[in-house]
Amino acid sequence: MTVSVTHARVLDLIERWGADSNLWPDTERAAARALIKSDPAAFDAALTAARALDADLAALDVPRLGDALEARLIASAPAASRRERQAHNVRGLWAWVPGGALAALAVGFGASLGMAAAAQSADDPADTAAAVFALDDTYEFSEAVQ
Amino acid sequence: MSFVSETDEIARAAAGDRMAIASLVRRHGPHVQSLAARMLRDTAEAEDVTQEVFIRAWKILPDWRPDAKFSTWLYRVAYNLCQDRLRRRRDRTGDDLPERADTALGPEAQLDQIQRVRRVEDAIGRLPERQSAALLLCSVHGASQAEAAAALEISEEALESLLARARRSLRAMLTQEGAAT
Repeated sequence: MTVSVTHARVLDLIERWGADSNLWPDTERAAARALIKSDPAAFDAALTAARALDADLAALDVPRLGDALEARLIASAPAASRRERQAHNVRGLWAWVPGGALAALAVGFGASLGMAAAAQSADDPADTAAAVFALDDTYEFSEAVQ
Repeated sequence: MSFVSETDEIARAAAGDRMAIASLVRRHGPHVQSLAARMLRDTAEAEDVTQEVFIRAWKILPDWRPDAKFSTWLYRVAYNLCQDRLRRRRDRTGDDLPERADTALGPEAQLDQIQRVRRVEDAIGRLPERQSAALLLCSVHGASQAEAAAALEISEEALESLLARARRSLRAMLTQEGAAT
């Protein structure tokens, strides 16, 4: 939904959100841009002042975590039981696998010679299924099918 | 190309997947720590807050609702924890403003970019907590209007009002100090 805006409202937007109109509320952005384009002099001073502050704020970065803190945060997460991991991986697999891949799997196990060959060449059924799905994380898949 | 949405990543983290846990920490940890550091102006306290935020996050992950935004929840908890600490500081010192690090500048360094940033951070640190949090979330951490309002548990109109006051005060402080051009 797009709403109309007044001169005063555009000055409000500049005052509140800065000069970058991409940061303004979606519903008012287009109308505000159009108003500025139609009467640029009315907003020039406000935009100039806002740009100076925007530049100061843009200079504030978000530094990465220190290694020690990052390690502490990761270590603070509880390790789940094997049963929870397995249950999740099975759920996750069914949510991930596209319908086409499921169909291919069914065909593969039933009739496809190529799939049959793959199944014969693999010692572990998890490896076969991982190959069918082109999964690169065979470890998790192995856990899921155990 | 990654097929893993944040919802799935959260579910994996809740199930104890260390890769997903590390990914969430690396994506959101810097924003939480940075917000806390700028609100508290104390690196050690900011690290404590960051750790507390994630400890709470790990506890709620198993019950996470897919429609909620993880970053918004983290910001809300971080903001509340910072407010608690600032309140305790005020109780101890009787001061209305948060303690500030020594950021006195020599006149010769005023044009230096690093010190310019420090001046801006110092000015943000002197804003009222809600104003600084609103400004940081929207202008530094890229939160949308709705996300920032949800993190601060206020209406979007109230958020706009905080932003306006924050930017006006910040501009006045920086102009006064000669940091704004």
